[in-house]
Amino acid sequence: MDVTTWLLRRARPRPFVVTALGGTGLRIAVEDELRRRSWQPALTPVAADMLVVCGPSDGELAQVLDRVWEQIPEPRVRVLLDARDDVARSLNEGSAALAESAEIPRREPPLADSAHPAPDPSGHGGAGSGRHEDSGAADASAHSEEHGAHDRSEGAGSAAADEHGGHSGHDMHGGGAEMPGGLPMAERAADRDGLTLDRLHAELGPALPDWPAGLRVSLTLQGDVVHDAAASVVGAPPADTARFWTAPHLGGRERGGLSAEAAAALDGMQRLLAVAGWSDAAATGRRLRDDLLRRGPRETWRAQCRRWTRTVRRSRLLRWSTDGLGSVAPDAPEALRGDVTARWKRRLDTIEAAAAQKGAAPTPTDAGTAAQCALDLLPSLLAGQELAAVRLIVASLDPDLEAPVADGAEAHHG
Amino acid sequence: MGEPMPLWGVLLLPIGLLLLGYGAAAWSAMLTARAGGAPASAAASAPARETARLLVEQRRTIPGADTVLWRLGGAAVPVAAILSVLVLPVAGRSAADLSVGVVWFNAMEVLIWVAVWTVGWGADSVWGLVGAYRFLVQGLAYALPHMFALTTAALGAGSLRVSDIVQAQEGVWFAALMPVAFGVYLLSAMAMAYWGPFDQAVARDLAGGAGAELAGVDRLVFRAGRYLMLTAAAAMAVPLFLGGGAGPLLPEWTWTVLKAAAVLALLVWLGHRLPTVRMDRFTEVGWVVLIPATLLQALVVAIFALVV
Repeated sequence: MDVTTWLLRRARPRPFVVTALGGTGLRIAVEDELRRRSWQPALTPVAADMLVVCGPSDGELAQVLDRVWEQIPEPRVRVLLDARDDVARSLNEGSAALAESAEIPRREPPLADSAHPAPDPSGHGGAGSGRHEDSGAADASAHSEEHGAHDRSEGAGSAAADEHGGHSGHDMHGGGAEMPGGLPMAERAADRDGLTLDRLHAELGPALPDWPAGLRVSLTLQGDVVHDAAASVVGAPPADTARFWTAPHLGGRERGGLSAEAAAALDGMQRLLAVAGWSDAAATGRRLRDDLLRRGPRETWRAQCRRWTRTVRRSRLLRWSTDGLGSVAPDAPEALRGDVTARWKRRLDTIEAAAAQKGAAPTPTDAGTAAQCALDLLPSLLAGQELAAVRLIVASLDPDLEAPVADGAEAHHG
Repeated sequence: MGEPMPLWGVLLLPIGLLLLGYGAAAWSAMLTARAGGAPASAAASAPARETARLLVEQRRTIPGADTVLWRLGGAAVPVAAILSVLVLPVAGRSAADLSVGVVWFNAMEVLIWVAVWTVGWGADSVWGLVGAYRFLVQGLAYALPHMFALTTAALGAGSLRVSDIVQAQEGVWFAALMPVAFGVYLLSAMAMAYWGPFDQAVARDLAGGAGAELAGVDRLVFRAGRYLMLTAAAAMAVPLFLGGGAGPLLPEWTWTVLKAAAVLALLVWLGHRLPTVRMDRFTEVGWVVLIPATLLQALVVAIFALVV
């Protein structure tokens, strides 16, 4: 047994989890499994050796997944899950495949000029046509799972150029100069202070950790400040998919309205805490969510839940990060009103109500309307914010894009 | 000016740093496991397993990246960490007891700025670049309070030589004499290792920020370097504020290691207790609160040094 084999057998996999629309239930099962195994999920495909796809992937998401897959370094394995799969067994098979990959194929880095043109839907006249490399080890994607930098689909040239020309705000290369690697330069535009700075186009989602399933936000950035933003939905769940959080059964257990709402709030909250850089509170939130879904609100769960909500609510640092961000006018659906802090406090209220067993079940929020409204609001909320604020605002709105479809399906069936 | 450290001691220094750094990474993994309700004991081996994974993983090449800077930056992090402890006295001896030891330590920390910037910038990625920007802003926010905290310790001893600072604490430790400077030093120790509430440069919301593009052994070096830097910063708190190897019963080097491990455990735990601080909000606190506070502390210490 050589050294490589010995190391491979002792390595612990790091999965990059992508959730398709309609894959929320699977994502939660995967997160639960990873947490109990102490497998740390990867934040980018580059840091991963296992691609885990939860739920159905249609054409558009399949393209994204191909680009994600290209970025995962060898040795690597793909685990595609659908509702009939046993999550634990699939992960075990993936892990075993990694441990036994005796011959690690080494992929050659691509030549930059092997790039092929991609459509330029944006009409931003960038320098040169949009392109992306077809590559094994190199990155070609701007899907922010990973590389905003190389967005080829916007025709904006690459962030590489942006970085070289723009990190100091001076153009050192002259317009249209080619970067090493044959990548085109970025275009420039006036920023909020009237300075002419490089712009680059980056897309957040749909394959991004701690991010609503199916959401894609296309940003034009100057430095780390958003110049303008557009939100769209990638993929569509199959028509027979019920919204996870209102599905009558999960693991064969009935769930009261109060618990379902609390579990949904816990899920949104763990995501926001992860984005806010509070990994431990996020992990505890996930554990509380999974315990609630598995066994309902037991007494130990209530005690732990009360302790956790108290800790989160008291955190001055968290409020300091979220106060005053992304304010939504009071004419919006109730779940969206106020700033980021107000939104996460409302989630805590829902969780506390379930923990205290006080009050009737809250009136179920119309998730479909709220999600649609959030999509409409996003561009105006994100413009002028920097990336950290963008992530916090999106996580606080947390549009459930499975909902509109599910509602539509229900309406359809009468 | 004490005796120089014997050669075997100089060789042991990076090994000791590595062991303590591994302990920090394992302790961090255990805290994560505990928060998620997983068995904490199994998590102790997590850093070793991750190391095994990264050693056999393919490295990454990116067309258009500034490969030289990108690779050098990653390697510079552990190098800076190891060089910074050359002035750390263990059992009264340092590998290099420079007359400007405090300045040397501070210079190595500035090397980290360069390293994180080039790692982020060289990778040709939005995540990396924004992470690098954030680290520079962080530098602006914490560096001056940090330097004033170091200066205060030097003022109290009347010397920039680290062994003199240890000797000046034979009566009372500087942590007690200048608590504000000590507190600011602990904060800035986390900030220089971009750890805990100051991890915005490699934060989760940027998918790993400055280190987002690293794979294989490059990622291993960069991540290990961060733990080494945190360990070095925690270890330097011992001679600067905690009386060096002073303590009852046990030999001096044991006390140095124990105190360093205690400070390190505290910093790791704090990092898990607190959410990330957004630098655009923290900068104001750094300049409006911390700089005046550390200056006042320096003034008080200077008067105290004159009187005593």
